[in-house]
Amino acid sequence: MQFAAPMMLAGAAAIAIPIVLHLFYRARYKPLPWGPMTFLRQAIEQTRRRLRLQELILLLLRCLAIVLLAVALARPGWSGLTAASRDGPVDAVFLVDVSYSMGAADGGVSRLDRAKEAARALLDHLPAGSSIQVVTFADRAWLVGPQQRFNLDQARLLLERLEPTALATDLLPGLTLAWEAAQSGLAPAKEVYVFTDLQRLGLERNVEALRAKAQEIRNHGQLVFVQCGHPQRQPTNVAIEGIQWQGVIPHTRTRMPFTVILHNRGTTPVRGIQAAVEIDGRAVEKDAIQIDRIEPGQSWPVTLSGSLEEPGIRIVRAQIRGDDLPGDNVFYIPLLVRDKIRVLLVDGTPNPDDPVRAGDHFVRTALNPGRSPDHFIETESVSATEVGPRHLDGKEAVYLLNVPLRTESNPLGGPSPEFWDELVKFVRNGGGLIIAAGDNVSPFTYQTQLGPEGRDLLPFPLTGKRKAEENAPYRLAAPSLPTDCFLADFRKPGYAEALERISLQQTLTVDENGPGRVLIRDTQGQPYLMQRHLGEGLVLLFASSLDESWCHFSADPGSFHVPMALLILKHLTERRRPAQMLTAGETILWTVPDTLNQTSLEMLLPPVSGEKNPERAPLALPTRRPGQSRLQVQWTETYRAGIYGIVPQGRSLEAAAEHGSLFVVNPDLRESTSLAVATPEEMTEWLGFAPAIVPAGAGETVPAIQQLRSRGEWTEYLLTALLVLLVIESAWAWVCGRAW
Amino acid sequence: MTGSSYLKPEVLARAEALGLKARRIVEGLRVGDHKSPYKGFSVEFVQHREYVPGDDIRHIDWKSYGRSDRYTIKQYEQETNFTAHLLVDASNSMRYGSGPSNKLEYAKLLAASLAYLILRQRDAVGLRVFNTEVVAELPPSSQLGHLNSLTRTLEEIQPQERTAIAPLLDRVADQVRRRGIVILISDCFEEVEPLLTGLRHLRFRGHEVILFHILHHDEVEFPLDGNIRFVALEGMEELLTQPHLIRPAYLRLVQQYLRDLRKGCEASGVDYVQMLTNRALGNALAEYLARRLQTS
Repeated sequence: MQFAAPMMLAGAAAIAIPIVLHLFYRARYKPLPWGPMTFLRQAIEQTRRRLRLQELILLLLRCLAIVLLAVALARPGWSGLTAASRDGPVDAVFLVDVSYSMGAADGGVSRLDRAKEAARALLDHLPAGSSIQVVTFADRAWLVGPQQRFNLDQARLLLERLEPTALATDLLPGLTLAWEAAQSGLAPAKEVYVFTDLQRLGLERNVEALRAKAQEIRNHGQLVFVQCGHPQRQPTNVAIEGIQWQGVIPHTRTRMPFTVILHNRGTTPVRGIQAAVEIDGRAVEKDAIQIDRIEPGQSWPVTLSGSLEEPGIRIVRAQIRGDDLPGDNVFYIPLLVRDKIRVLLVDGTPNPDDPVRAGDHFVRTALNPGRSPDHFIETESVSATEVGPRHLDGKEAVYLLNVPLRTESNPLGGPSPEFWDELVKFVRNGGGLIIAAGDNVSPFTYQTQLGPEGRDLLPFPLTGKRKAEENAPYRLAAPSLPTDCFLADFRKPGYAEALERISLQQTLTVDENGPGRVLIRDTQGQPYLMQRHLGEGLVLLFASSLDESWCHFSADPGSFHVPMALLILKHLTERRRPAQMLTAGETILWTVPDTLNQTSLEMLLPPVSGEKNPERAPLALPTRRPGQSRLQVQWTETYRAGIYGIVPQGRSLEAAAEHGSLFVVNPDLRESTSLAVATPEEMTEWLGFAPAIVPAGAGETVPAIQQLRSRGEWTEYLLTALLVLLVIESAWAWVCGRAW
Repeated sequence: MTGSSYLKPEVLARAEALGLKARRIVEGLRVGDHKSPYKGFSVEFVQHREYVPGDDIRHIDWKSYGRSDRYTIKQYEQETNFTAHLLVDASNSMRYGSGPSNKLEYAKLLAASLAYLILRQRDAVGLRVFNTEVVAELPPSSQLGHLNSLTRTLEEIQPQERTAIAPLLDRVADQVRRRGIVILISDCFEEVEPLLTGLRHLRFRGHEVILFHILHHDEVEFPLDGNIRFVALEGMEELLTQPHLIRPAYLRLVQQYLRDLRKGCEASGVDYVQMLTNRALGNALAEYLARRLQTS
């Protein structure tokens, strides 16, 4: 039990009043000479016991009345919140939900605005001398201020500036920080007000820990939930779940179709959603596309195409309008637009006279079917004996097609050692290397020179060759493709048939104990295509040839090798991501290039609401530890959706693109998976007690809180009991014939 | 107060008109308005009775002897004066009350008034003032001038000591040989039974006894309030109480006492007259005398 005004308990000392009066009145007897003392004595004797009992009862009733009055004035109550803080100063903490579900405009005003209004009203009605701390939370929590906890004006200002984040909700970290903030105050009464929409997702993530924390707060203070959602209206919500660009590799001088995946995550149909796509802030189409109706649970792809004019990193931004929840109405992807992709084809069997019979024919025609010089894929074919390190300049991928290696018996039969040295560097720096077999490929030589003992380029050790019967060639098995493989499309109907039409006469055999991974096997389970990561690059090894020598490509109209070549190239080029894509809340990690490790860096953040320029925040470089080759910086505050970039001080986002420190942060779509609100019964089940839940709104919150404050009081009951007691006392006094 | 001040004209005027007539036969020294208990030679023949040795032979009815051959005595009623003995209680308990409602003053006034009436009827009246002892005594006299002595004696009365009526009554009964009227004026705050014994003793001696029970309104109604320390007028006792709390018990006891006293008086042939000091003495006395006339 607690008392709101414990000093009033001192009033219980007034219990002495009836006793003193009792004694005082006893002393004040006026003398009267009297004759018939006998009757008087007998009357007194006859009534003495009864009178003493009456007197005692009366005295007890009056003492009890005094005690009741004192206790009632002390305003006792049960719950920690209410009892201690009705009039005395409190350490109040406003814990405001800033997950983006709070941006839902249900009922004409956003939930966060409703929270601000309620918070302002509550702030105005805090008991005199109270302190305030504002804590915001989504999937993490921030102590916002004010720095001087008694500065309520600053708290009002801070509340005004609150904006919804792109994060999901998790109440636990918020409650934890709020309670720490409350405990740092000196007032005996602690009150934590949680301004939230009570989204179920935010409560059920970690129920056990949440229950423990809520009960801890309840045991030592007051925990009040201010329900900021509209009591009846459910917000409509269509989310952008992603942007897919169609085509192999984005490149200039073309229009790229973008498919925006919309999904109605609400419970009601949404009409008139408008979708638009921008590239670097410019709309790709003149007008936004309007969708008539999206049913609840329905996904709706919207395709808009935009021309890619300039090479480089482009930010594609999709946005929709027309629902109640803006937080998930935006989505960003970075797009590396290529002007040219240059591929080196090292041909072990060149045929200048009849290029169709050359070893690079099928690959070359697959990458540039029209042999157009303006095509974005530019191939350069060089014979194995002529290729040198310079041929690697500007290339992003290298094909080794049936390339022989130099041996003691044939010292000029293959690429020079310098080429190999440069090729290893090329791969380790992110280049792509595709090795195809053929008659010129000696498993022993390859194993010796390119295996672990040599330049260590091979995914697996080569053990030999095998040759199929004339009429029983090896066939590829589409089901052998892993589902997470970049070639997984070949599992699909159409592609799979094309894959399985290919007949192989010979293949290399490998020992699968190696650093690589098998992507395609033949029907006998032998590896056909293998890959290996090397440094930042990738090595692919075809166990057969990519020409007609070991397999029959000509029997296939191009449905295998053309998509195979393009998918491989796409995979190789995509691996060099133009910018990291993150979900709000994820940590940005960036390795500082050596050229910048002495430079003051800044983090460019998405502009705050109403601003155009990005917000800048200084970024402290960590101290280099012994043995650490490169510095790595991290940034955890990715709570707004948009573009982040780490740049030298004063530079723009273009610098971030140059340094590979551009980051795209999208809303945490877990938040809008379900906007269902927890019911009081669920809250009770999760928290282990029935929490106080009051509606948000200036006209509703304060009366509800005031009612709450007095709910735990016994004052009314005590005063009622006092009244009854006084009536009894009066009746008893009347019966006893006593005025006092 | 002077002696004559006890003779209130308004009291006496009403009482005199009614007179004080002995309801019973009293012994008188001279012929008066009262029937004498001595049957003999007076005017009115009452009865014959058989002669017994010791009777005065002068009263033998010889005619009757002649007719019946038996000695009979003729008896007559005799109009005679009576002697009244006023016994006034001057104990401390009579001190209660202030002004005209003071019990002793009321008793003095009553005694003076009765004395005046008796003397005016040419009857004799004597006075004894007592508490535990007889503190003042005037022998009976029918002289009108005796009234001055009476009033002076009454005036000089100072209440003191306790009341002790029963021994006094016994003493009076023993001392007063001639039958007369004994008028006891007291608050009678003592045990009922000894008091009645004393009264019966007087009655046994042939006296007509009138008890004027002087009571203050407070003592009967007990209308007191507040915190009161009752200090005994007779003795050192003190009692603290709030009268209203014990009023029912007190009234019950007082009524019981009065009832017992009244019934005892009635049973003993004693005129019991309750006089409340808040009532005008003239009215109270006139009422009593009127009742007395009706029943004589």
